[in-house]
Amino acid sequence: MSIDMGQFYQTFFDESAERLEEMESLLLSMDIEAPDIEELNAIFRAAHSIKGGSGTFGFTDMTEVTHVLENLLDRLRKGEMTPSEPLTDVFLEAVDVLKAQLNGHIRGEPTAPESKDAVCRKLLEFSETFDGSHSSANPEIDNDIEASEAIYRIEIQPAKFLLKQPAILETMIEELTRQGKLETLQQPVIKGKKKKTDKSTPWVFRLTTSTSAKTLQETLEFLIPPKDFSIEHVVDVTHPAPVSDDDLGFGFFDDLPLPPPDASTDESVETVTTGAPSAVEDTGFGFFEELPLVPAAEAPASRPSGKPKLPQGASKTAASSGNGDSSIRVSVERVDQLINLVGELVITQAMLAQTGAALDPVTFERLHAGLAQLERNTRDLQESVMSIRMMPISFVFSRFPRVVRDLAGKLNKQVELVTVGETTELDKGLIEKIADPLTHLVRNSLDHGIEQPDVRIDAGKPAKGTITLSASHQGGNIVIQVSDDGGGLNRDKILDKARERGLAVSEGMSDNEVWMLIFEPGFSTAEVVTDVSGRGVGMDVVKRNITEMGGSVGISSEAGQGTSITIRLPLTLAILDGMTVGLGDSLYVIPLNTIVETLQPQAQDIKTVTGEGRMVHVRGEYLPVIALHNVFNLATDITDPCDGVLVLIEAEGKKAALFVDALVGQQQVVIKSLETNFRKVVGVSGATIMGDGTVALILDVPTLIKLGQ
Amino acid sequence: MAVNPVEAAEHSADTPIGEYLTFTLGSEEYGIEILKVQEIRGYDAVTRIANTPDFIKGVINLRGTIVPIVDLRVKFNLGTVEYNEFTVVIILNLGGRTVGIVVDGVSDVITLLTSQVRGVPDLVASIDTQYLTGLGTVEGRMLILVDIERLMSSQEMALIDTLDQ
Amino acid sequence: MAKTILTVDDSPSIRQMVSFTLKSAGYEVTEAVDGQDGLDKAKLKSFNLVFTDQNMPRMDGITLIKSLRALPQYKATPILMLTTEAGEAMKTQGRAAGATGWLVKPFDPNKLLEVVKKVIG
Repeated sequence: MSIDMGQFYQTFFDESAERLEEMESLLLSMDIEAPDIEELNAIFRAAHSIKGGSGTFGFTDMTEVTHVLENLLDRLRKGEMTPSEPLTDVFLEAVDVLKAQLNGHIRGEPTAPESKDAVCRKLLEFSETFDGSHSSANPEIDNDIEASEAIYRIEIQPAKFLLKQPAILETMIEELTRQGKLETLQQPVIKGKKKKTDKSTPWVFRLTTSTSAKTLQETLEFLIPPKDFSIEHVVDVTHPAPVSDDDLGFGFFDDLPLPPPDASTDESVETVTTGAPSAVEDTGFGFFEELPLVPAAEAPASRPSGKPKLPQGASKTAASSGNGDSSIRVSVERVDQLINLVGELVITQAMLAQTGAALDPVTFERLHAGLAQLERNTRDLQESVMSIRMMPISFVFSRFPRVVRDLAGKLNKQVELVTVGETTELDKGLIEKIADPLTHLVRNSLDHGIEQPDVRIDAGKPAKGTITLSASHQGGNIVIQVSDDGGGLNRDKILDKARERGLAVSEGMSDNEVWMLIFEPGFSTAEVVTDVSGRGVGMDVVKRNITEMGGSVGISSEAGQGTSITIRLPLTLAILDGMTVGLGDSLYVIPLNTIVETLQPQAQDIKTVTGEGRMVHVRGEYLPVIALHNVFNLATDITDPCDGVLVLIEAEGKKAALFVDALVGQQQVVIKSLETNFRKVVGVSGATIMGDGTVALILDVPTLIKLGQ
Repeated sequence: MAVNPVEAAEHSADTPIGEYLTFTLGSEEYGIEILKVQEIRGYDAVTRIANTPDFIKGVINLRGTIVPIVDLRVKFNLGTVEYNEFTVVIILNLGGRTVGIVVDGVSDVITLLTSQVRGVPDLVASIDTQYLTGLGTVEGRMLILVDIERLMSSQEMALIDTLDQ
Repeated sequence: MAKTILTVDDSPSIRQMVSFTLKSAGYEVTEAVDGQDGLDKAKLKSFNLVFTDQNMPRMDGITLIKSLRALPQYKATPILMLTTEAGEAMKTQGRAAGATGWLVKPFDPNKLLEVVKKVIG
């Protein structure tokens, strides 16, 4: 019977990825001083499980690493070894290697063996350091990292010099005997009266030793030229090789009365007849004692009658719950299609509600009740459909313990990472996009925020700094915060730097405005450029990425107390908080996260600058006025900014005042692409469908600001 | 790929080429492959798009997707450009993109035979010859067959992003 | 009637493979995710054969074997340890707990069937 193992790969990949994540987080949270035995067991099981699976499915490179890892973990959990930081580092390195190997297999491009060999060697070194009896063993490893003891076949040619100097041979035998158990299998035959040695028959020895082949080679080379001997690795003794074809892979402890028709197949199994099964000739399976088996067919009937009889339903339930958590894999496209359909339903429902609202509530009481019900159902449906795309932010947060650990080590800082609200869910698309900006912020906090331990102690703070990552829902938004209890931002330093960079700053700027300067392109306050937070590229990119996601970023800081950066994101990429504005007979939506404020200017605030158009004077700043009706060539009666509204918009660090006829209202809108059936339109980032079914365009604020300059 | 009726005609005398939706633009009658037509609907309120040619009327909400509307009457200077309850929009599905065209009126769906179709002489219609696939004759009327997909994706229609943009 | 087999393993891929292999050969297979789950399921229904992994959360294989042997209906049921550990100590433990035999991971599906056939035909 041939079974295609390929069909199980995906399960193995998923499972292993999960186990590796689990191992990593357990290793990171492990208390070196007093490790929790349950945690050690869990780490061990994870390694063990990957080893079993990778061996079974033929991913032997992973088997090699997990095997060494498992041995160390086993000794650790049995208390034969003590945990240490360097050991954890090597474990984490092994996890990384395994992850790379796993990803290689997923892609179908196995990884090069160098990193595997390197990490195995490191692991083995630990093993040897802790184990005196193994300290003499060569730290070099063979491909066969399993073998703590192995059998070698050593063949030595009866060269002339050997025959003339029997002492060499004796020394050699003595030397080999010291390495392990030496047996002489064959000797050169001595023929004839002259006692001439037959040079066609070499000496053959069998050596069972824990010494590596390499060391043996070196030992013999001392005495005999390499051409005159050979060392052949026969078999490993301690563990049956996991991928050996000769090994039967199973066994029974005692004689097994086999089912009669199968008796003939008995010969294929080497059965160990005594109570002490021999490990050397392990067939891999066995029975402990005589099997009390009745002929198989009768087995169910001969069961003790006391066996509880259960209704069919009960056993079914039990069987189905055995498949672990039940879930199905669905392509994101199908989910998105569902989301789109529900989006349309929402619009239809809104249209019906609008139409219905015009009808007399008494006469159409039942219609109104039905419409109200429809609204509730639609909203619930939309929420549950949206939730399909939602993933807990722990998918992103989980990478940070490692990031913080590695970086704190590099910077010689002591940092504890606290995460709050890991179960907060956000859209899958956002999860993918938020990871990089967040990583940058965390690294930045660690590099620039948290002080060196001595500085902290001088400041009366604990030597160990804390970085807090938190996520929560606030209204229709996700709020993610990266806070540290470090030194806080330095106002003067930032202002100096800003002047140096030629940015418009004044002493009168509020703290908040000063803090926001660090998001300006090319801004960096690090006194020394480090390889950790980069060279001043970053914070501006962070801000741009977040803005692109429809989010906003804010910052608060207290000297000596720390800094906190707050990111606000929409729940999903498909929804946008917008301000609807009117222009002529059209409606436009401005993303709320780009709006600083709205105002109705007085005549004296508007200045006309020759060749540069109109400017508006707001709080000491002159901002260009962009008349939307000019940009879009639309007819409107309102041409004087004082008759309309100015919406102060900001993007990529630049501000402008967008002149529109009127503000209509604030609402969440579903973003629709214009480009699906049409092309890109300058100044427009997308479209949305309003409650009455008409289309409103969403303004592309960064482009509009550029147009205004 | 649109079947070229002229080429098909050279092979056999009288077999059906396919079904065509016919519509009028001014005094001219046009035919497009029925397979490209998604639906026919009335003219709804359209959201104008700034800085586009005047024949692009704007976009509408077609069951949740944003669909551009092109007025072929404006584009080809034909017929009376009025928008009322009799104005007809043909929603086309062209290689995954949905586009609406405004025409004077939709006449019929007819099956054309190879014998009814001949080649296109120059200067026969308001639409450039390169977008025409043949001339059909139906009950004495002349039917101009348009490769609507090619026409709508042409640069002059300004419906699709071009590489130089 | 098809022979029933309970396979207890915390690794979904191994479980899937064992289960698929045995089902393809006409056995009826029930899966359990750890020793405790295995014991619970074994109490609900009796099986002709039990396969169990050794290292599992909540309850390990040895404990499961001991617990099963303590049940009257499992006194005589063949129980095979399915484990990566074929060391002496593990075998002694398995033997003491009442296991019938062992099968070393990694194994291929044919090996699995071979062993199962030997035990329950």
